[in-house]
Amino acid sequence: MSRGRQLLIVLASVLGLSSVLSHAIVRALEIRANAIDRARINGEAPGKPALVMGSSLTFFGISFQTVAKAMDRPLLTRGVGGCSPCELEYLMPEVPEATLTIIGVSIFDLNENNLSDSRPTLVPFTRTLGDLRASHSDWASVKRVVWSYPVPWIQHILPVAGRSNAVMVNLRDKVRALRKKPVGTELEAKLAFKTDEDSQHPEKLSDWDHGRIGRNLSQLSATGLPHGRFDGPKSLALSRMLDRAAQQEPAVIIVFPVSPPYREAFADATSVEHFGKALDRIKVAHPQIQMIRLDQEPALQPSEVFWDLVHLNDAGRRLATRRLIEQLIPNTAR
Amino acid sequence: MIFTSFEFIAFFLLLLLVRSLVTNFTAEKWLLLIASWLFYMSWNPPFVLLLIFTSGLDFFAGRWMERSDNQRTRRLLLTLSLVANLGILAYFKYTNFFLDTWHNLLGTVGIKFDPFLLNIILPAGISFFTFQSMSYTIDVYRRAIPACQSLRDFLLFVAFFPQLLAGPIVRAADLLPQLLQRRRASWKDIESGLALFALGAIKKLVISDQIAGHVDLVFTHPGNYDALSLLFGAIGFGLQIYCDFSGYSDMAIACARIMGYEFPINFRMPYSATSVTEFWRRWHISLSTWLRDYLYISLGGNRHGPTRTHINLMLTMLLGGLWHGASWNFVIWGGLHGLGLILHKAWRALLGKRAPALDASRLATFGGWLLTMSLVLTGWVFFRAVGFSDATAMLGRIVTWDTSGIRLLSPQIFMALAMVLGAHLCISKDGNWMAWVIEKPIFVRAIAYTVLLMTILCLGARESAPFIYFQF
Repeated sequence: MSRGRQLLIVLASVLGLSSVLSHAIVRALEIRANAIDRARINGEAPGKPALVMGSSLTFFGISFQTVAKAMDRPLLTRGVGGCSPCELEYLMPEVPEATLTIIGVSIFDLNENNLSDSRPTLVPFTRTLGDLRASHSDWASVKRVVWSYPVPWIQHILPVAGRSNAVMVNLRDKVRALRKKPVGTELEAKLAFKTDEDSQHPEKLSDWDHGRIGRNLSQLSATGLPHGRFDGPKSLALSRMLDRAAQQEPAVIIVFPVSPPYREAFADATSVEHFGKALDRIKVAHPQIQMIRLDQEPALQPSEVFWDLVHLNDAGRRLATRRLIEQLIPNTAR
Repeated sequence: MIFTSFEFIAFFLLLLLVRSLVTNFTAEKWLLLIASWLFYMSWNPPFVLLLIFTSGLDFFAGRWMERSDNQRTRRLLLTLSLVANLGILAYFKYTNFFLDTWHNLLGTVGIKFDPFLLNIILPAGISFFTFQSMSYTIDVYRRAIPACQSLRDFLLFVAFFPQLLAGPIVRAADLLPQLLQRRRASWKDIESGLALFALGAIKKLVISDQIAGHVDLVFTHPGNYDALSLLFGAIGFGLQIYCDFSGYSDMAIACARIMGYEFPINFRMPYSATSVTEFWRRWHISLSTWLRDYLYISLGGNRHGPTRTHINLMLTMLLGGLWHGASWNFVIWGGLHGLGLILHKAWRALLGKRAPALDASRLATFGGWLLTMSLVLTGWVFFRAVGFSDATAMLGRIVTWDTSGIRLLSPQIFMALAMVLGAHLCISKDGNWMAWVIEKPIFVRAIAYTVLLMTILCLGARESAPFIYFQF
């Protein structure tokens, strides 16, 4: 057989074998794509529904069951792990009946350098290109975002492609479970969450040893997070969401805190300043919105209220929920 | 555009496609040249003019040198070429270093002033293409090779994209003849090229990129960590730089091979070396042979007795260190290796006829390996540390085994260590795995390549950082 034909057979076999193995690994390790979680909370309440949108930070950080009861109105939720306004914008039209929009953001998920896996599947390519051009994004950012679009196509054949973190974390958890040891709770671990259920995370970041914090920080630094940028497509998408919400009751933006180690490692003075300016621009462009700065609440600053580098734990959630209700109710109760 | 990005893969596939459609050899060379310039421009577009200028200068210097029989004219042309190349390199790479050093020197005698530092952007790969181009004029001067007759071929020789940014430093004698006739890779070459590319991607994505964050943490605040964490941080950097650089070299060689060109090997299991001399025969081979042929031998080599030999060795390594970057830490790194080479040479001379017997001893071999790796690791601390004081403090804490501080150990470092040591110990250090596997039956090759691909998919970093050697 000629070498050319041999090479074709070898390549086809490699692709076939890898595809089979890939699917088997994804199934065995229960690796799932960041699914959109949709829920209705306090559905029996008589008021007009409010739409709550955000990433895991929002739904780990606030008990929306409690908020819905306090507001005495139904809450419709849309949450995607690791998402940003870019993706949420495309979930907003799903709930035309909502008369109030609540959006959770933070210095972590508004950072343009933090790419969401869901963007290629939720945001049309033309919209992304348009936003990159309109925001004068630098060439490196453009390349990063544009080249994330072929990944879902590749994942049809090789579902582990681009999910090496999930493979390693889930494999480690499987091994730990087999050895009857507690599974990991670090940031990179499965961020499965239900938008209508309060998460159960009593553990505290302050109990982590420095090595564990260091390992998690080093993993985050490898994802291109360090330098915060807040003037790209995410800001534009947030602005459009607020434009759309302008015909409703004044929209609410909740700004979530991040933990002290995260702030120390990634939120330097320049990043914090740029983040602050981005929020100021939004406030100037949409003066009617209510911005609730949980990130400036002194009680939500220490490591004791986080269960990993960015997510609030049970104690943090109780505190954050109370603060949110205190500021939210006077303005938005039906 | 880094080799492990979708962007490069798309660029390369498109280039292969267009190249297969081009029937004219001259047009094909123009295509490769323009593609190489576009590749370079993806880093910083204006600097392509610098690349064209230095290449053009050396091309004409080479042509004139060949035509001239007057030794003085030839020497003058060589000097002109060297001054231009080294002058450009010095301006972009060392201006601020020299200004800062000058400022510090004057400060020690009480003369204080605000240092006037320039805002200079370093052109990517300048050290590599400068050395490559210089080797051509030196070879033409020595009449080791004929001058290139085509400006286009010479521009392509310097700018050829697989080796442009971080080597291997391909000599004119190796690449220019390959540009004289149309080359097409055999199916075997394509297969081994693909496998080599995958191997390079594993080194880069699975090892280098995965441990980069951990290494950065340790070297950014070395004072925070205990001795064990610092030791593993240093080992981590040793693994990172090896996998990053040799991964790049593998992928560069693979891309060239897929297009039908052959580049020299750049790494040959360097961490299996049992002496510093052997280490330099296995580490960044294209640079070490360049330094040997164009610097060490030009300084006199070993022709003027042991003392001059040792001085020449030390000078070569100090300059080799400085080639890496404008910092005294690189000079110290070069000096450490120079010292290692001198001591090894002296030791071999002292052993005389007993050397072969000692080489056969397993204990001596292990001792030699341990000593070599200790020196290499010490060198890496200077190479990576932010400053001299950080490096000495880090080494001091490791040597005195200071247990105060944070314990930071990452499973990725252990995994990387196991993979690299496993490869170095399980595979014959002079063997060629690629040549072995390519001759195996189809199903063996399919399984071997599937393992490579699955390793990248399951363990590789999702996003790749630029290669470390791009900054040199």
